[in-house]
Amino acid sequence: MDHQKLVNECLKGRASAQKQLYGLFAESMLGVCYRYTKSMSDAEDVLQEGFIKVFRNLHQFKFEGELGGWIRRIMVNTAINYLKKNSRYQAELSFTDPGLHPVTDENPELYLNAKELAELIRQLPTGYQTIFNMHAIEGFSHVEIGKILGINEGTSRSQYSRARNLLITWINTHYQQRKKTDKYVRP
Amino acid sequence: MSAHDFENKVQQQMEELNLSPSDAIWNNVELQLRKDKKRRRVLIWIPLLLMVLIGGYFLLDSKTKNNSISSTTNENVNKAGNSDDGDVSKSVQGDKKNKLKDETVLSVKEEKGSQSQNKVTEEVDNDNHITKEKEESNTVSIEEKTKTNDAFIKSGSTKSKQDVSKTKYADNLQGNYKHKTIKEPLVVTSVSADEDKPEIFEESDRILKTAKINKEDIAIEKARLPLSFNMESFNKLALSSTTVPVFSTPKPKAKNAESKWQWGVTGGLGISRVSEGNFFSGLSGVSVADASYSGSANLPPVPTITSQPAAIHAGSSWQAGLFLQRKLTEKVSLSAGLQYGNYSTRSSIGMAVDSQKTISNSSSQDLRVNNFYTTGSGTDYQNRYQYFEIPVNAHIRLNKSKQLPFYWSLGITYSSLLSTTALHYDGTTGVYYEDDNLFRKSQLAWQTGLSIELLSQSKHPIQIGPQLHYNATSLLSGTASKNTHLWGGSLQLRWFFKK
Repeated sequence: MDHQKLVNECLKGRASAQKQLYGLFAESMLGVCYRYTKSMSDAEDVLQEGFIKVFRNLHQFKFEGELGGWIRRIMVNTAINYLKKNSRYQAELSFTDPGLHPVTDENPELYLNAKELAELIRQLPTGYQTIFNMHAIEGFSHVEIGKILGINEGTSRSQYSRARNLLITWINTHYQQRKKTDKYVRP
Repeated sequence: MSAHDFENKVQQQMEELNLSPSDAIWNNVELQLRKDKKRRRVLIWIPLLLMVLIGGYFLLDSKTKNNSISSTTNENVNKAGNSDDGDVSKSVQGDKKNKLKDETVLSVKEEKGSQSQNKVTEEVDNDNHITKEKEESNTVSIEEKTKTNDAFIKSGSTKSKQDVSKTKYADNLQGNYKHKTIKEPLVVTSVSADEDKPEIFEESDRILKTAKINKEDIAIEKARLPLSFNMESFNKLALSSTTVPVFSTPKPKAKNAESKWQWGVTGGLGISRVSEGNFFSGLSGVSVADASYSGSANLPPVPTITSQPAAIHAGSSWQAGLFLQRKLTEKVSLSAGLQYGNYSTRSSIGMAVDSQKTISNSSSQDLRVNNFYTTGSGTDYQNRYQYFEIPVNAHIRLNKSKQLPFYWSLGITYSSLLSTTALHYDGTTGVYYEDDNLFRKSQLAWQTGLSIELLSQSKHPIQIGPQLHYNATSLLSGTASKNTHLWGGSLQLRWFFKK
């Protein structure tokens, strides 16, 4: 069933179509929610809230873009709102403008798989994590991030830069550790 | 390797990140969707159920009336048919208590025999019973048993035997007394003390079985009665033969002390929306007001580079309060009340951002807001308006039915804005924000509606019906005014606590 037909069936209130649509996007969307949160439980909460919004607002989807992209935007919005509302994340989301920020063009090789990389991203402080996700993966500009999070564009840039540096350091460290382990395992 | 290679690689890897959610997630989503569906169904069924209830009430009411009329007819026929023993009683009973109070029953009792005794008894039904106390004390007491009715008649009686031309009497009655109703109780009694079975004319009795007599008709018929049986001669005869006939009109019944003041609770549920233009010349849809500062008169306005503001759609509304009503005439009542009104509209906007931002709007050129919303369509935002309202209405009764009165109401409402969450749009920065100062604090609205009164015979009748309201005052104030008005329709309910 193509997406248009599926959406139309969902709009008619067909439970089977709704379940099919959920099944089609749930796994990838949980990946999105997972990147923004610190625990699987929170990620599932966001996923649940996000899908409820998807079905409630499905009539607003005009087939002007990809259905997956539309659902993903809802998930990202839901995740950011979740972080703002949730006291566990609120403190870490208060951004301060550090002024100067490190500039790096380092592009390390990625020897990590998707799950491992996601785990490293989730280890970042919440502010870094959010901005890194929004800019590097979702493709928001710093102006847009500034508007969404209510911070200056410069703050977003510096936070992203710091997040990127930290992540690259971790990736490199992880790579060095793995090399050592590989040497040990393969004498 | 370019500077964005790292980002591209991360993006690529994250696209592949798929995780299996637990089954509970779908169950919860499905549960929520079912709840939503139920809620929608309830909203659809409420007006349908109301219509069915009102229709059923109409049907039941009309059936009750029909049954009442037919049972009264049957009762009369039965009574007439069961008069083999010579005791014929004609009762005229209205189907409703209040009607009965004004009706009398002319009862003519007959005893076969050559000697006749006239006995015309009026019985007042529905607790307006006139009883006859014959027997030892040679006294007849006719009284209304109605607690509130003070008609009380006694008449003494003695033996009397009269020869009256029964044929003439019957002839006179035959064509004129049939099916006529006495509007005010009239008592005509003459009772024999020593005979349990008085005699009366057979023919006249037969005719009177179904006779309902108007007081006016009695007066007319008095003149028509033959000399041998006109009222005066009848009285004279009665007096001369120690029979005391009494023609007595009981005192008018005291009306139930019905207060002109009524009070109760009122509530409404409906939809509200904001439109541009005048209600009578046409309304059009409207977007969130762009209250951005357009610069001084000498300078060109700041060009808007962001997207258009979101359209405003209809939302839900409800009201609740108390009212006091006074009956001016039988048809017109005036009511005033105090109520709380909650109106909403919807707009599709972007995400909420909890951050300080400086907005340049038309009222206070530099406004610092602590949170705002971005443009987009991810959030279905509800613009809520909470008002304290003082409605004044005239209620005009459109029909005469006591069972199901139908009213048309028309009035005005003064509203004071308590608070609002409605958003404005800043065209220069492309954000939505709250600023109560841009709204008029006082509103004047007019409203009109139709309503039907259910349980009108009870102490707590309910009036229910549709109502349309329109805020004649513009929603926005000052330079932000765009001739936008809040209006809507609702199903109003008024429950009377004192009637």
